[in-house]
Amino acid sequence: MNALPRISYFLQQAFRLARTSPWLSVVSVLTLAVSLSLIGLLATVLFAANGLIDELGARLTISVYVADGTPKDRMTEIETRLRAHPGVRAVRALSREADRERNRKLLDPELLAGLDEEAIPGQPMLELELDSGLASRGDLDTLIAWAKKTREVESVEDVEFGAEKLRLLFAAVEILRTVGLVLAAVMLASALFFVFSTVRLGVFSRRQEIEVLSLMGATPRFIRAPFLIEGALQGLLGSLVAMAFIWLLHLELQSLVRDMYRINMDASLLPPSMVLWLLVSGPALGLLASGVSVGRHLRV
Amino acid sequence: MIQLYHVHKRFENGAEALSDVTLRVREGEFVFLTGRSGAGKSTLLRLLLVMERVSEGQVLIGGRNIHVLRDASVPYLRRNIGVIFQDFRLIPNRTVWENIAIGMQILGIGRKEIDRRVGQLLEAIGLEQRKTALPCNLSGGEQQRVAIARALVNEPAILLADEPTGNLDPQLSLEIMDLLLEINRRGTTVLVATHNTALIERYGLRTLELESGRLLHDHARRDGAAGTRPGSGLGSGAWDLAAQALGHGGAVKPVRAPAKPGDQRGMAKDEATRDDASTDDTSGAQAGTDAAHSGDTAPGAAAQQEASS
Ligand SMILES: Nc1ncnc2c1ncn2[C@@H]1O[C@H](COP(=O)(O)OP(=O)(O)O)[C@@H](O)[C@H]1O
Ligand SMILES: [Mg+2]
Repeated sequence: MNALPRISYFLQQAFRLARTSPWLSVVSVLTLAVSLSLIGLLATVLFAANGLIDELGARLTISVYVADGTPKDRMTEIETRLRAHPGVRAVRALSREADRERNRKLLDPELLAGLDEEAIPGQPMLELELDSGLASRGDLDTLIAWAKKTREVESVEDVEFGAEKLRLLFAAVEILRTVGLVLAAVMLASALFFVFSTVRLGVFSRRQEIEVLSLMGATPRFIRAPFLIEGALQGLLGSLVAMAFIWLLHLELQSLVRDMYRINMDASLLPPSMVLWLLVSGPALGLLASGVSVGRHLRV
Repeated sequence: MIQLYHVHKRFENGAEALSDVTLRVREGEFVFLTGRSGAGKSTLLRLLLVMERVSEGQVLIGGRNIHVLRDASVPYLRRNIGVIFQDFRLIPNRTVWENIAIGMQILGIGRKEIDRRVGQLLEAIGLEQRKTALPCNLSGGEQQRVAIARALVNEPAILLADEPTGNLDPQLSLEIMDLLLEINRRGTTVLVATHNTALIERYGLRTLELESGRLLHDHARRDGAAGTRPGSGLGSGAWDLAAQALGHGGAVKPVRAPAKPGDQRGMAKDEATRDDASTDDTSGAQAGTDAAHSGDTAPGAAAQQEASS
């Protein structure tokens, strides 16, 4: 019976508080929106990149080309040696003819038409399949170093390893993660600081009011509630703005993809998990900032 | 209702604002607290509101030792004590209506009930037309009336006033005093701190005189003085009769011990069941203000002369 009138009073006072320093409130909401969407988008991109890395990593192979005319037992020796290395799942030996056959299939039939059989490239080789799940930076580095060493083994002519591309992707993801996290942290810190400051200004401008309420028998909780609600409301508003922003970005990307590749983008930038993250984190962060501010500035 | 036993109040800087004060104010009494500026009047009122804690001694309100009250219980004590100040202390960005409603909003009372009660009080202080005005647009006398309405909204057992007329001219001071007397006549214990000796002389009510933190004199009320006569040995039955004779039957409130957290709801319910009494109350207060407006011009002028001499 007591709750409803109180809640409406708290909300009324919280809205009034937001109007005390309207510009600071707007800045709080916007920085919150930017940092929330930054964190959300960063998570999305990193998640997608990690998926790509896993996929590429699962298909990772090393091709070891052996000199033409290497004797069979030497081949077997090299094969045994490579197979023994950790991370190598399987080794497949291909004769010169088998390699040529495979290349023929890869090449354009028209191109091959007038070609002499000998002109089609073919070389005896060992194809190494690697354990899936090796797609971590450290594993990759060890493998690349090992592959290079293998090049020096007698009878080995060349080693081809698709890992360089993967390594580039790793580096890009790492940079993105670092830069993104720093940026997001800075934005988030300033957003929290703005909410903190708005609430502090609200408390200071209401010194007299707080004293009166206290003298009238208001409990500390009753006095604090509007300030906390103000912070949570700013957070909620920040979430909604972030959602609108991400949705616009999604639409923009969608039409871009459609125009460039003539396909419909099926991934959404605003899946339910993103909506949930925004709706929970915004108010929670707003509440946190106002809670700290009230704890520090509001003495009753 | 209010008892102090050997109360000392020392501040951190060593200043002793009150020393060895022992006094008693009965339920329904109207008492002036006087003394020069710095005598300790405000400090005494602040102790009753637990804005300060005593350094030594005991303070009892409604038989309850507030010296040992936990911080968390203080709000519930304050809900039974109305307070007004020299500088009114209305909340500047809230309307007259909102300022008066605060006490009920704190209790979580519904809008309808608040509207009714605040409406009555607005009528009683003659400011129905100004309910959406902000305090800064009111005169000093109007602001103090709003402050009084605010203090009374939950019908507190005790009303404390710290220099309530300090910022008002003598005519307005008398109006405010009459309002306070009217409130007292309906059963509220009233304690008014003032250094305005002219005002005290005029009413001849019981006066506690402080000097440098000590209780110097306890002047008994003059015979035939206005206000109530709680020390005269009348039982509460006689009290009701007296109140009825004054035209405010049944409005005398029962003793209310300071509410505990759990009592809140009870108070709210109390509020709802006392409709009739409330209606009587406000018509009475209206009469009080009317009297102040019409008949008291001459004594007001007298007070002015006294004050200037
Ligand atoms: N918070 C405080 N700290 C130190 N001294 C105080 C404080 N409040 C009041 N005093 C001192 O206590 C004495 C009584 O003050 P006060 O109760 O305000 O007197 P009055 O209301 O009678 O004018 C004064 O000497 C005043 O300076
Ligand atoms: Mg004073």
